[in-house]
Amino acid sequence: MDIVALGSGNPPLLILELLIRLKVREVMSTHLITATRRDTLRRIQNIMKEMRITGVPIVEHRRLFGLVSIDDIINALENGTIEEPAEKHMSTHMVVLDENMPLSLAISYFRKFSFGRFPVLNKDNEITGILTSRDINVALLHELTLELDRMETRTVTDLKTDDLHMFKVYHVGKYDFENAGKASTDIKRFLKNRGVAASIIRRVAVAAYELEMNQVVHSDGGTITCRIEPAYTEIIAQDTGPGIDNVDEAMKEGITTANEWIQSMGFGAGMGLPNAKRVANEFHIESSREEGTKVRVLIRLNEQKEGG
Amino acid sequence: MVTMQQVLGALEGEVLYRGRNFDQCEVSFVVACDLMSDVLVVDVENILLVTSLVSRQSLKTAHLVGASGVVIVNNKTLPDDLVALAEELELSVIRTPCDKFKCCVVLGKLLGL
Repeated sequence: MDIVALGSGNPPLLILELLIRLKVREVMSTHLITATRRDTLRRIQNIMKEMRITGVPIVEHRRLFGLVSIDDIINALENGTIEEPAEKHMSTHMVVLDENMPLSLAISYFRKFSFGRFPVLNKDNEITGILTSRDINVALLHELTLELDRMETRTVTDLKTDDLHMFKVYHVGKYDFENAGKASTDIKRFLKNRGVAASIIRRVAVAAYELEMNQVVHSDGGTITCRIEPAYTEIIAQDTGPGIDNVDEAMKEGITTANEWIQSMGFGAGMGLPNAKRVANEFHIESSREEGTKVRVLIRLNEQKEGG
Repeated sequence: MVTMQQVLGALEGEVLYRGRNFDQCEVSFVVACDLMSDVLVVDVENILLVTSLVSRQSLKTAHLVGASGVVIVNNKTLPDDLVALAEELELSVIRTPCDKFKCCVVLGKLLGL
């Protein structure tokens, strides 16, 4: 059963990212309906009927002993063993999931084994939930709805714009490669219409684009605030996390924490921050785990940068 | 300095999107690169971007550095949404059957390097 058609071509990056980010414990049902080893299969059959479920874990003191599935009940009815205790007929060869597994791995288990459900254990081997394909579908739908909401509210707040001034806030989403570059393109267009020299426009555009791409690639999302005055352009990139552990390292050319699929799109070469600094007249960065990362770049519009 | 039209002829290329001013557009420097971060480091006028990376980011990057145009090597084509993006950015894009090395050699000769 293919819950998500990962085999067919390239799934959207958003889905891949979701499947890796979501952990089994966030998706599984935690409301467990269980039976004990001494319960009869008849009683378990009634539980299934009442609760409309197709498998019941056999659990005592949070320890998992086995699983009775609807197949076991059918067999018991055929063989006349329905009044016997669960421990005699339950399946004890089970595949279990670790609650901290990424969902992508759990999905591969659904493909590899023919089970309709997997008990989930914590690190102390206690049962904490059960995962069915339905849980996965519901969780993915929920997450995708949130993601769509976020995309729809991706907005540009125009605070003040006239011929000489512009003051706008652009919202940048994590891994939103589709919209990446919108802020930079918009800023570039404004400066071009204002007749600013091409070489200066290029520096502003490069700084804005690098900061925007940094937020798309590395942050949990953020804003690009751009203020254009007759004499300068100021860009402030503020993200919501997760912060840079070592700012000095991040400022070195070629140092990157980007993964392969980001690099396959031509980014994540570890040039972003140094390059933004290179084109700027003023550059300031601060970062912490609590506050995220804030970069301020200022480019003067009436002078060339020395050596730039 | 050469024109996009000369570039097109020398590379036996095909136009995938013809921007306004295609005939007047001039090229004086070639950046052959698939890593867009490296393109953003180049600081010269009238760039021609030669790349085998067909993505939104290639076109956006070329646009942001004010490139005169983009050459896609190995005869790769642009999907419809990228043609629409090229149109939106007013960015000329051509493709050539040459691989990247051959493309650079041809352009080098054309520029008299």
